[in-house]
Amino acid sequence: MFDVLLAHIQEKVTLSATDVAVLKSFFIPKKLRKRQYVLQEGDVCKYLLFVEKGLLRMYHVDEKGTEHMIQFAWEGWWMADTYSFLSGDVSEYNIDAIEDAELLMITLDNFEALLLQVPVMERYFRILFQNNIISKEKRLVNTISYSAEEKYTRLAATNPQLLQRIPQNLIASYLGITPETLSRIRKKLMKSK
Amino acid sequence: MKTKGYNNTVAVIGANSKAGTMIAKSICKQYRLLLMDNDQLQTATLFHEIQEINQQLHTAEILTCSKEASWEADVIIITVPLAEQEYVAQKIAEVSTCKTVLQIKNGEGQNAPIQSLLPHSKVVSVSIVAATAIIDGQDEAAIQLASHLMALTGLHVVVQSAADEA
Repeated sequence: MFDVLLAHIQEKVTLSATDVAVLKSFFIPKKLRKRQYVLQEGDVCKYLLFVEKGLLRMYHVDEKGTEHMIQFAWEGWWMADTYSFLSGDVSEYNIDAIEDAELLMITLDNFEALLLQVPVMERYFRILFQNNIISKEKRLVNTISYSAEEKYTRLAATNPQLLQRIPQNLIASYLGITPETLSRIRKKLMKSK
Repeated sequence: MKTKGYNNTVAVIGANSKAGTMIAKSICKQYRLLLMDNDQLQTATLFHEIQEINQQLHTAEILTCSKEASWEADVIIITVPLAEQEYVAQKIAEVSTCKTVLQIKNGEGQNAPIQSLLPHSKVVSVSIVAATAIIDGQDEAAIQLASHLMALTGLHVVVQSAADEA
């Protein structure tokens, strides 16, 4: 149940047996079925989520009802509306499962307590947040600087797993292009191979 | 499935018991239910009764394993006979960390406290005596949730610690 999380943490820091026992006591294990929500727009994001198994998406729905993909998370990934989680303000996002999922969830109070009781987790989360900032900057550059085809090829190069597991319409939304454009790009790339 | 918000899935372990059935029927309009009991035929009957009360899709599911039900749930209600409660607690311990667990005692007998078996859960003891639910526990939020759930059943709610102070 904690295999993926512990492996992920121990890639970056070393945990003692006591640390592991304390850490496990702070997380809520939760199974989520496909299409079930773990956060809905208008609710406060109460949990920082870690995906042990399955696939989640975070997205925003605009006034026209169009979904805009913000992030995907699969095994070994964290997900939350960080602003809502830390501030307690309501979220503008939705998080639901694209595949049946097994999650480990931690509340803000338990998160703070974990950092106090297992100080090495401060370092783990610092590394995580650094990586998150870098990846968000790259995503921003991708969005404003590249053509639709370049966005797709860069995504395919950096996240091939994402293309295999996620429906095309969601990938198009993530890239900020229409499904038709994505389909044209894919056909063009297939022909050029 | 679009559920009723989040944090709203309740597992009823021992759903066919008198208390389990009463609670399930009473809270099914507010909470998504995971019904678990050994007698699946009887659980199916309860499931259909709940579907009639609340005609929304996905309002209840039948599960055949208390651990699976507790893993998926946000709140766990144990309504099995007193003699089986410790066994259930041991079985669900791994998946009930930080969750609210209601231990229901309905009628005569003494139930063994299960908090020690679920050290990282918020266990609330609920004794149903006639038309009153007497609630006892350590975690304030869990006591409030248990009081809310019991109020939905129509029982008169008395919080033990408050009663003691009075």
